[in-house]
Amino acid sequence: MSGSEKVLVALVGHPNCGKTALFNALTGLRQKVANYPGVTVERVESDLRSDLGHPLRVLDLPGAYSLNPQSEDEKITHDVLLGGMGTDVRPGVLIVVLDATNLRLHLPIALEVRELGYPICVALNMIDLAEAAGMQLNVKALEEALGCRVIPTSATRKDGLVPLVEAAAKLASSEFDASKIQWAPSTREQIILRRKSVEDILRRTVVVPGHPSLFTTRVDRFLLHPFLGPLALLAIVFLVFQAVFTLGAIPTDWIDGVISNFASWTRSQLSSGMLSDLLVDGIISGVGAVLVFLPQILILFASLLILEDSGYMARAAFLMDRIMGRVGLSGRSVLPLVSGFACAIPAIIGSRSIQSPAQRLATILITPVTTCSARLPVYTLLIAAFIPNTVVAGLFGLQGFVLTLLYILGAVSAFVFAGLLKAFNLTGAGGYFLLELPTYRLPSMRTVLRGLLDRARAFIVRAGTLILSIMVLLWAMSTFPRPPEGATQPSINYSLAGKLGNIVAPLLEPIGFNWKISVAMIPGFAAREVLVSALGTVYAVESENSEDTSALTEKLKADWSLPTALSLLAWYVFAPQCLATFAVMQREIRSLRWTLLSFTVLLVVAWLAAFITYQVAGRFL
Amino acid sequence: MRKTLKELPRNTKARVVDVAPGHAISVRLVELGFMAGEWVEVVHEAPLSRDPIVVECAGTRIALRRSEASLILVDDSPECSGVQS
Repeated sequence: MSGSEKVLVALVGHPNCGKTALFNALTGLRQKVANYPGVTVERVESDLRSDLGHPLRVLDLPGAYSLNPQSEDEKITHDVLLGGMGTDVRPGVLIVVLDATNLRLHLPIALEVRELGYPICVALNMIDLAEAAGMQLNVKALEEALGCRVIPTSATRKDGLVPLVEAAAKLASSEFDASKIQWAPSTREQIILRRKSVEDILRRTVVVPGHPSLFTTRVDRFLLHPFLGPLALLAIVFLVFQAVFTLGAIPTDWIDGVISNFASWTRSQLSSGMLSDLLVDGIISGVGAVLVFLPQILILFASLLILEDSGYMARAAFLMDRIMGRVGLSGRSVLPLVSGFACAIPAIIGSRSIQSPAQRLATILITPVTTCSARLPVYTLLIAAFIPNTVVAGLFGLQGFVLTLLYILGAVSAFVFAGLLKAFNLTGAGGYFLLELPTYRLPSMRTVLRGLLDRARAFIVRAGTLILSIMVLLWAMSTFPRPPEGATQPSINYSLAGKLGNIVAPLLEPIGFNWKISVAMIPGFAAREVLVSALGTVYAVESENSEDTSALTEKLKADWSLPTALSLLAWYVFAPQCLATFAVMQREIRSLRWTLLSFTVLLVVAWLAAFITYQVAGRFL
Repeated sequence: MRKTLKELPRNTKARVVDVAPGHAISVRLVELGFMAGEWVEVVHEAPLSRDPIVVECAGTRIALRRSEASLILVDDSPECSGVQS
């Protein structure tokens, strides 16, 4: 990499020290997101903002309470600091970020990394909040006690950034060899000793202690109230999903319009033929089918980022822990599982903050069943085609009701799976729940925006690479080989996709899938949402008349029975049709046995669910 | 009287006596501030089951299950709790 000659400055600190906000203030919005070697954990690294005047690279390490790792993300920080990540990720300077409003909790990690021998300087972060709480501190005395520069900073007000960078740049010239670090886990005596010297340091440096946040205490009295707390949680979840589906629909329709206009414009510019088919049916409609639900994913992620950055997510975890504990999960599973409603991949990666290995494994294994947004286009298409839009009980539409039912079915199944894992003691014992409830803060818009940009980029890259290539492949598979001269059947029947679909068709016949569904299912294993565009391709390629503009909905209505449609919906609740999810799962849990088992079980359950649905619906409808 | 944090009633101040060693989170509890002599107080209990609980300790709010709270030995004798921290 081009930046490899620049000294790497790592930000170290607790999960709630405002480290990421400081990182964003130091680096601006450009950044390189790579992964740490061997794990999918995002490595957030960037050049220092050029106006800060020093050619340094900054690395935002996962939050850690100490070097004794208690979770997978703390282990990353541990490995990086002890030089275990290879020369590519070897910091030369550490900035220890402390929450100035709670130095007793935050100072020990500064002492701990200082003991490693790193050149360090300290960012006394959120100093604005500490001062607002009335705290007065002798910074000079603190510098003497710690033996390093201490710079009061406020990421939100961008205070102290210049002196902090100066201090780090001065340290960057010192020779330090991370590969020579000697380290052993701290004993309890060492931890107590460190806390005692922190008490001693605070006695000498704090002139006036700040008063604790009354705001947080007051808000918690309401949000953690035995009755009002759960109600507030329900209301928040309801609002988030309302925003996803109602607000999200506006840009979705807009994107949809742009794409279909672009498709017809492209077709009008080209003479009809293979190139036009590839561009319009293969690429534009395929990638477009995926891009349309970007707004919904982003709204869900924005909500989660805001809830997390404000400190509420920890409260939700507390309120939900009992229910999660019943099925062997923990309150910490709440955030990953809720983000699973956007996409299982960040959800699985997010599970690394769950400390207990058993709870983490269980959370990861059930994540593929949460209703990720890739299922939404499939659900929407089938519901629009097959469920009449009648009003039930004078209140809600039948279509919306069925959609809600599918979401509930996903969530309930996730719980049932977790319960089964626990009942048979498959993921092992040893679950616990331990979580700091941070002080409530106004979410940093910059942090939220940056998180969103990352997700949008990852999503668009995926749509533009993986899904694009699948669409081209699928188009080729369903176009070649060309039908022989004087063929009587639709041309797709002669193609490779048609042949493959016919091979698996007998397996899918008992659940009511025709061979076209079977064909579309094959690329659908790459990503669920591909099914929609694949069906579009299969049905469009099949109709010899390229001027046939009737919507896919109409074609499906004419071709499928209601039991088939319901069966496909049931299939999609469970089917492991996203290979990327299982690739990430494998990288995160490093157990081929569990990954394959999870894939197989979900496949079998999907088949059974579809079978039961098809048979029952065939009897009664 | 000595008891574990698990049994400490809500809104009662007590002092930490010791944290039982050997559990996966024993060390982390000490790191979070559960040290001998530190003031603790159960400030919230989860709905219905009253488990997990939120404990205030050394200016930090920590949510934990009662099963983990049982690792923490506290003393809520009047001569202890009568003194305001």
